[in-house]
Amino acid sequence: MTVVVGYRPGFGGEEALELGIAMAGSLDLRLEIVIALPRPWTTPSMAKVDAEFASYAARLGEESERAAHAALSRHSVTAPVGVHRVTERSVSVALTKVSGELEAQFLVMGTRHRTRGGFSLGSTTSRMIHSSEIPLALAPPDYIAPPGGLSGVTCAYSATADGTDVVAGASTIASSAGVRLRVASFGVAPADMYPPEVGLDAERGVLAAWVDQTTAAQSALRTSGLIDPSVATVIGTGADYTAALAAIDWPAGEVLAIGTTPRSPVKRVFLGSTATRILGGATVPVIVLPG
Amino acid sequence: MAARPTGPAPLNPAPLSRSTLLRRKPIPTGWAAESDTGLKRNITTVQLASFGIGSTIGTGIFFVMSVAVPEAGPSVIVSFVFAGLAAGLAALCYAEMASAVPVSGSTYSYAYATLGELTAMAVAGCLLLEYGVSTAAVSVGWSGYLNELLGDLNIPEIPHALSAAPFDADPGVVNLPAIILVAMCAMLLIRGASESARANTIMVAIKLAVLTMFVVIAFTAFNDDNLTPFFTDGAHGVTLAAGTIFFSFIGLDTISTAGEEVKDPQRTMPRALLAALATVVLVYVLVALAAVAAQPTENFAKQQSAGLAQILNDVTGQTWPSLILSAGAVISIFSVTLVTLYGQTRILFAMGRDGMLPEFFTKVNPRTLTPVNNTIVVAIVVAILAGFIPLDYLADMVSVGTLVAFIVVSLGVIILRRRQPDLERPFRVPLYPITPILAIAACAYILYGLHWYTFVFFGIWVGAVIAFYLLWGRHHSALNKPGPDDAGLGTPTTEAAP
Repeated sequence: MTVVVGYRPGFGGEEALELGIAMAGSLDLRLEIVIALPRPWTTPSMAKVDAEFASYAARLGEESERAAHAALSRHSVTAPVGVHRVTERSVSVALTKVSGELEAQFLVMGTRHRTRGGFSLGSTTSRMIHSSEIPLALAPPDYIAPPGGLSGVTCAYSATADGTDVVAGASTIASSAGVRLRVASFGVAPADMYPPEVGLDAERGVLAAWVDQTTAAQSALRTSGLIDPSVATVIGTGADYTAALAAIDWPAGEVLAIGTTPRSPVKRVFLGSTATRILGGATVPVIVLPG
Repeated sequence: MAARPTGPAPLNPAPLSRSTLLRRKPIPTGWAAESDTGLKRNITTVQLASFGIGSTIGTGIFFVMSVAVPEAGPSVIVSFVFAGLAAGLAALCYAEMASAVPVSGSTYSYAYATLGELTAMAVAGCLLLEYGVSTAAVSVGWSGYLNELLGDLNIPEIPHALSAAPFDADPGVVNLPAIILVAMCAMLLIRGASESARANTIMVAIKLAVLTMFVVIAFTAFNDDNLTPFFTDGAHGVTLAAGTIFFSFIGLDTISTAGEEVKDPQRTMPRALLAALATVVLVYVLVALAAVAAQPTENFAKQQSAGLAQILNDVTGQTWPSLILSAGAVISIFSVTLVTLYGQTRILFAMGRDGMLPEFFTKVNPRTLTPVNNTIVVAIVVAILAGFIPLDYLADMVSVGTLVAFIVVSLGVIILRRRQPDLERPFRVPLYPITPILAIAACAYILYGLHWYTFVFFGIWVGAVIAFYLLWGRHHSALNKPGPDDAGLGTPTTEAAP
């Protein structure tokens, strides 16, 4: 089994590689770096535009490979690493194809800065989230792999029926990496209603009830044996998901696991609205587990 | 911050004793400085007055005239002034109570903290009428204006059978638009939608604009012959109409509920209350005067739905003024329905948290973070009322519930002053104890004017609520089990490591 990194310098590739190195080291998996290149136009053109494009693609591949090796040497990665140049009609097709061939357990990709903090997904990453059959790890912008690799897995638990699958998936990752698991639930204070006929405290009461319910649901995970009694549970609340995520501590080396909902064969997974908002507010790497 | 139990209250039999029935919910202290709603002490006098105007205008003025004018004739103007005065006095008492008992849940919570569990349940019964039934009443009014709007736009109107209640003066089968409106509002609430402060301001502007337009146009048909005789049924008529229209003043107490967020409550609250009261009474009196002077009293009884729009139609002989007014009414009554339906769900939520209702009512959907079960139950009950009960019956039930709730609050002010004189009160009613006594007297006088059958229904309803409490709520009350008063809602994180 392997960790496949979708690598392209300048497009979140450096951060993806950093996360790939950390995950492969912690999970004791082989690291495979995939440089997806555009397929040249096979029909010869009069002005030899096709030749120029083929030459650009080849140069891009060489430069990317050099940069990948440089990054690996910076981290003194001694474990076996594969670097692959794949030419396909799109990056997502290339990554999907190679992930299967290389028996990838995780696919790692980069993200973009978001104006209001957190990170957003590029078009390729969005497509992969909706089509990937394997967990997709997303590295936040400016991410640098911590020296000790992964230190813990925080599972975003929604206290719904689907939520237990995510806990089980995150628990497997944590035990494979030999790091601690933490179960976290995030709640946002609903907006007040105006005019406030029953006072501006009403929604805080609703949030308090949600906290009670979620605390009970988290405890039920322990009593049902889904998580070990030593697993910490935590609840973060705030005015929005960015604040709710920031309300709990994030030690270096922590990753956040979130779940998706199965939908249809066409769109294999559906990232729920809550998961999307959590993704937008996250400051640590996020592993999206297919539903 | 609300004192709250930390989970569902299990069955824990409580004796039928004085101490059980009069037990009170502890009042949290030190709330004012720690409020963390993000709006802490940010609300200005103008905003506060806008809340009051926004939640008051729209609950009744658009459709109450067709019921109230036949009762009092042109003297309905006096009824508006009198009802406004009573509502204003009660709102002052409400403001002191809200400032002394900083908990959510409206009058129910204030009563629970001051007058005890049994009274709180009786008040809850009143509030179910104030919020739940008023939601039904305004959605019935909305239905009338929607049909008027469709007619003005040359779109086929909804057939009478599907837009009138079966027990109406002109019976139909079901008031379908009213049911659809309630369903739409419930769906928005389930999804977590809420009206923002800015939307409220826009709604206030729309309401004031269309009512001003009505007054200006209706005054062009001013005929002082229509004002004589002024008192068609003497003082009795005035009182009777005051009872009917009282529900047009529901919402003035909103100013009090936002009291903890204002900068200087002792100065801001009375100013905002007076500003809102003056605006609302002025608008209502002008609308009433313009309406009764524009057409003979006997015409009002025929205008069961969309009364104001129909007056504009008759006065101008054109459809555009009626179209504008109907459009304004449809938009603003939608907003009023949303807000009152919300208020009802949150009162039931507060009761559920106190163990006075089954845990079902406090269940929060983890995806939407809203009390979905609660909202669905409220919406179904309100939709049934809106679909099958005529407006005049609904209006009287709302008024009786509100008036009794206001009396309880005014009484609560006196009791709390005697029982806990040193309690922190950022706002105190002026001229104590004259103000609360006058508020009680004014509300009681208006109650006196209501129909006897209103009291019968009211008595049966409150009796049923009290019976439910004695048989179920008493044993499930959160006060049966000792626990922390407050688990720290303001605390951003809760970490439960073993």
